[in-house]
Amino acid sequence: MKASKEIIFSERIASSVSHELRNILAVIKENSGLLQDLIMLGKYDDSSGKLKKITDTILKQVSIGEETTTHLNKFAHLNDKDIELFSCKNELNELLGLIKRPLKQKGLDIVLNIDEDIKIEASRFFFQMTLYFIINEIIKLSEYGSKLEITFLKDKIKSQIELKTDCVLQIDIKTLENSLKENLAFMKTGLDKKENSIFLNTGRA
Amino acid sequence: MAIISIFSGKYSGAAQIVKKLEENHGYKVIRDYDVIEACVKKFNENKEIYEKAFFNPPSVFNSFTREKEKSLSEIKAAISELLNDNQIFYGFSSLLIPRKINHVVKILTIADLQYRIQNASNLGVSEKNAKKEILQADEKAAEFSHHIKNSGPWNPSLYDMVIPMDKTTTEKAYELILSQLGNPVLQYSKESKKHIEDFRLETKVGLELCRQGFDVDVDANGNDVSLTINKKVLFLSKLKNELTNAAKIIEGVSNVETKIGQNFYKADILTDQNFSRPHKVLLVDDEVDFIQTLSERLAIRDMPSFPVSSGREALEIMDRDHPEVMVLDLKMPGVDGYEVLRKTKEISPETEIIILTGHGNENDRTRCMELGAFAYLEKPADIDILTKTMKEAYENIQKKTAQN
Repeated sequence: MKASKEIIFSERIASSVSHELRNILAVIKENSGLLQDLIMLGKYDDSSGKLKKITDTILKQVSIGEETTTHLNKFAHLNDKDIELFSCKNELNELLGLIKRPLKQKGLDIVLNIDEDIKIEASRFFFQMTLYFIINEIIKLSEYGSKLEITFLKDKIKSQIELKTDCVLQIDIKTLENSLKENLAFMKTGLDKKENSIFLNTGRA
Repeated sequence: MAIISIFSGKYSGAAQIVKKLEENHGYKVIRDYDVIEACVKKFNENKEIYEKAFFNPPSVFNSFTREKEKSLSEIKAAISELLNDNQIFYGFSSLLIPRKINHVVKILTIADLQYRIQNASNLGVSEKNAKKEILQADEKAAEFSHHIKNSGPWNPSLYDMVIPMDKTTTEKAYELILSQLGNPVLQYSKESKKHIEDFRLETKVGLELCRQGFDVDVDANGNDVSLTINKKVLFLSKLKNELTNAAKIIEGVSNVETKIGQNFYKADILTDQNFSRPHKVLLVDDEVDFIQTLSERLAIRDMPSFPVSSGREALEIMDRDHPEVMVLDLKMPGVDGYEVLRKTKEISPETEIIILTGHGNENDRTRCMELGAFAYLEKPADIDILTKTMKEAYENIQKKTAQN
């Protein structure tokens, strides 16, 4: 049985977040272990600032961990309402917070031009999922260290989210659209492609 | 007759002087490769070990393996045996002869870049190539000199005579050296004979202590040996005892004195060699906070390691320094862990690789083990389990080496 897109999306997010959390825990574990080692060796004197550096690292990692779990918690509540009016800016930021690991691994430099927010009425889960699969396609096909520029476009007629890269995108937009057709239909929207940009139509302004 | 030691900048014109001394006065020229050959015969090792000691920067693992110091101790021992009248030591080995041997005249020939390029051009070398060769040679000379003398190679205090070849002629430089050779201070004497014997004992003691994992400066005066500790030490009195006990049983040594040098607090010292743990451990993870802390904790457990934060750096070190055990993350930006694992097993199949990843799943585990990983651990791992696995990996290497 082939897993549905929704399950695949949820699994990928779980994998990315658990990877992130494991790394955070590993840093905390090693630093608290080092603290313990130094205590055992009787090195309480902090004139070199070593102990402070260790505790600073632990606190920094705890803070990253808190942020990650906040993203995860919000993700777990995406389906609380089937349809609602939401901010695309918030949802995009949530998604980027959840997929920090794969973005970092590909060295993708994300540039956001999203000051002028787009608000739509749809499913937040499907919105994030659609964006995820588009970004994932870009991650797969772009070179290491590429730039991904995400821009909210609005005019009198329509609003769009543009995802533009600085490398040649070999994405077959029809295949991508086809693979996302249920999502797109659910959101009553579609995709366009022009040069190195993919446009997610988000509706009438 | 005096022994001549000549160190020179590449294409500074020393080769012509050496040739004239050899042809006109019957001097035997000992070049670095002659010293290497003597080492190979004496210690039955590969010549690459000594080439590396002379001409390559130390391995990233050197601060805990002391490979370079061991090779240099062997080179010094070979030089001390080669030392004889009517010789010219020409090259890096000239820097290893102690100044206290008074019938050795230490000469530096140097010139500015323009002169050296012109000199190379007279030998048919293009300007571009000459410049490149000169810069590379100067870099190697600086690295070597700093390693053994803690000083640049052009420091006049290292020599009895500095000849700026761009301000004189080869003929005049040659005449100047000849005129100095008649100096009574440079004649072979009872005193200089004793200094050569002292040097031989120093190299013998230095080599033996280095093999036992100690890193100290050795000075000999007859049968009395003085050992200077120039590094940071945790238990000084224990180390002093160990050094004394190790040195006094060496043939030719009657009395041993241990001293503290001016760099006493600078770095770490290995008080003994622990043969049950790997000496060359490379840690590879893009999480810098993680890898540095792990490296510190391993060092506390007498398992020093070198951390790098990318697959690319890991492969560069792999190519040059062949670590024994590698602890490797899988998901890293750029060259990822799978590629490092695959390439390492191609370049250095004897290196054992322990995967330590936060992205653990059964597929990854199977794939890594098929690619030749020794073990697969998931983050956050327990330090005791990690060190145990590292020791097992090292035992596996030793077992394979014994079988071969």
